[in-house]
Amino acid sequence: MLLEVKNLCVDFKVGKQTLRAVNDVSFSLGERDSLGLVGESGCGKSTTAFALMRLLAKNGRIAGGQVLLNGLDLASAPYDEIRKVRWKDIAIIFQNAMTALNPVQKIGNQLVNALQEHENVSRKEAIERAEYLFERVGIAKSRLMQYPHEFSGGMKQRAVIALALICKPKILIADEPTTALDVVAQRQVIELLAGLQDEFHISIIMISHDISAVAEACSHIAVMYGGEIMEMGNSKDVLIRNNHPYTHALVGSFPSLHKPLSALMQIPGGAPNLADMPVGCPFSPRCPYATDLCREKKPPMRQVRLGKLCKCHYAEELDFNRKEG
Amino acid sequence: MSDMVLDNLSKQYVLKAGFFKQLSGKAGVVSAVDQVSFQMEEGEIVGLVGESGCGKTTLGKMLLKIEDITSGKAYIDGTDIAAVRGRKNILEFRKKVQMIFQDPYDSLDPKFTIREIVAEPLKSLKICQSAEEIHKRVEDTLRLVELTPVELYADRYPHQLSGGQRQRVAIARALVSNPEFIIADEPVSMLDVSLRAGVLNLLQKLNRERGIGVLLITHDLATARFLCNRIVVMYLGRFVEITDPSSLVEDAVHPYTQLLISSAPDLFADTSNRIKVEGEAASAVAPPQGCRFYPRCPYTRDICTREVPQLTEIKPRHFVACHKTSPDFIKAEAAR
Repeated sequence: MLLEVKNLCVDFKVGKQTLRAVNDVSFSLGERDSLGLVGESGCGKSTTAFALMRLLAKNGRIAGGQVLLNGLDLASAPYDEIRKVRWKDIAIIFQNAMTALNPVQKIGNQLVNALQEHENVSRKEAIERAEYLFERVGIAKSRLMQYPHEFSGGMKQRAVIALALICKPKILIADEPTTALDVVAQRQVIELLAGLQDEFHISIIMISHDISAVAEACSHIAVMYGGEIMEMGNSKDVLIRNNHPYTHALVGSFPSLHKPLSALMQIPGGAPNLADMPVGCPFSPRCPYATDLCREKKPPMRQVRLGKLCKCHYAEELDFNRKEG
Repeated sequence: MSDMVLDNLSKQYVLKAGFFKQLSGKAGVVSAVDQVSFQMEEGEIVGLVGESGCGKTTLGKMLLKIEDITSGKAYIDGTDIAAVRGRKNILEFRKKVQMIFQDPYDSLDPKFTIREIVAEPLKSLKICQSAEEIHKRVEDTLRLVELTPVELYADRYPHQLSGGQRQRVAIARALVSNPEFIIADEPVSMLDVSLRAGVLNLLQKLNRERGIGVLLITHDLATARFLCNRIVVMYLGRFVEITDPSSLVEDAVHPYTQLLISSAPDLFADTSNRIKVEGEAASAVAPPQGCRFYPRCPYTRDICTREVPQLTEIKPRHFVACHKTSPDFIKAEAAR
């Protein structure tokens, strides 16, 4: 395994309270794997990604668990080690490409600087590599030495992808790479990521609230709620054959262009409050199937069938199959 | 009678330029909305769909008199919008036409309670005089948008509510003056998925029960298909296709509509023959001559670069602006 995350927990100190934003998250990523972390705002998906790169805000800390990258535990490694790993082994595309680029520096120089920081290459070589990546992501290399404001939204997003790939990372984390874009530009980014994965043999962790975008870009999906992974497995298996009521509700609340026109599913209540989490299953206050057992006892993560993990007391009984309606 | 009629409506913005350039007419012009015509029937929900920068929000703003009309006419409930002048008439107009904005985190005053926010239109539009009347009407409206029990929500502040609840407050504020027409600009795009369905279902209920006409401005075809009776697809300031949502996916004719459908990520889509597209939307400052979509269109012919295709009814309730559908074009294609 390239990357193994074991029982990762992240705490934030807010005033006198300590809030657990990520709770007991485990997953692994092989070479050329792609994993999508999906969930609604505040579910801990971005925090998980930031913890992997040790980019948590000052009031946040990894409270437990391991993040193993080629045997090195990123969760406990000294900061100098982390600096070597960042961008070289794991690169991240931040949410909102519009603000991720330095507005007063030419984009080409930003790419060159990032590469020269990590590798001993001449400026000429660095520019050559930047030009190659620009063409690969679909931007004319003549535009390399332009400023970010001269680019459209879709181009900025692609330039940020080129920037992330400049040091040939093994893992690319993409935080909401399609969210701010129009559908046509979204499609281009999804296809670009798939193509790059083939060419550079990278593994991708994509974070998004848009389950349909993730379903197309990733082979595996983990659905998060209240800081925990609720259901995980092969993309089609998770989204078409849901075992967790939350996954079922989430997929049902998305309007589709191809589904029959029926009323959209509505999840009652609101997102969980981290300061006041239920004792049992975090989804139990909103779950239509919740029983006393769910309210009192946290369900364990377990395998419901080959390649499908689910955290629900009734995962075996609740087998929603969308193909059969 | 129809709720909304657009007749060759256009909006142009003059770009910043020097004084002499403006005088000599050499200043650049952005044609944000270009000669659009449409008739909306009473009690319809119409979806206006397009990419960012296509002019859909500008059109909404013109209908609300936030932006002035450059040329053409727009009527809401038989009233010529451009002719509504003077404070008193504008107040009357605002009672009939209301707007729901995109971002419920920005559009509600954080220092007002929910009750004050919803009561605001009643006061500023001088609809209710007595405090009891305002009180009753606000509570009735909050009940209508399902913020119940009302006592629980009415005296809270916006920051104490979730995104979905805030958007309900915004809807309540739009509804309290008893409007006949609502313009909803991306009402769910800022909300979490699980909360979107609730807001969309509410809009649908209000339309069915009260016959309020809704113009839904969105970039999301799937949302429009779910909620609307008709869908208008807009590209760079022009309407390119008007169709029924039920036949949208199967019968889309305009290459741009087909591109939008094919691009949308969808769990249930057949992904085998996706349309590939290069390039991005052209600029509205110097839009292409002829059909504005031709630089990205896979079917471009000579005529597309010269003549503007007109919106034609190819079958009942289905309008398309594409040369591909004209008899001459089909004949010429057959001869090729």
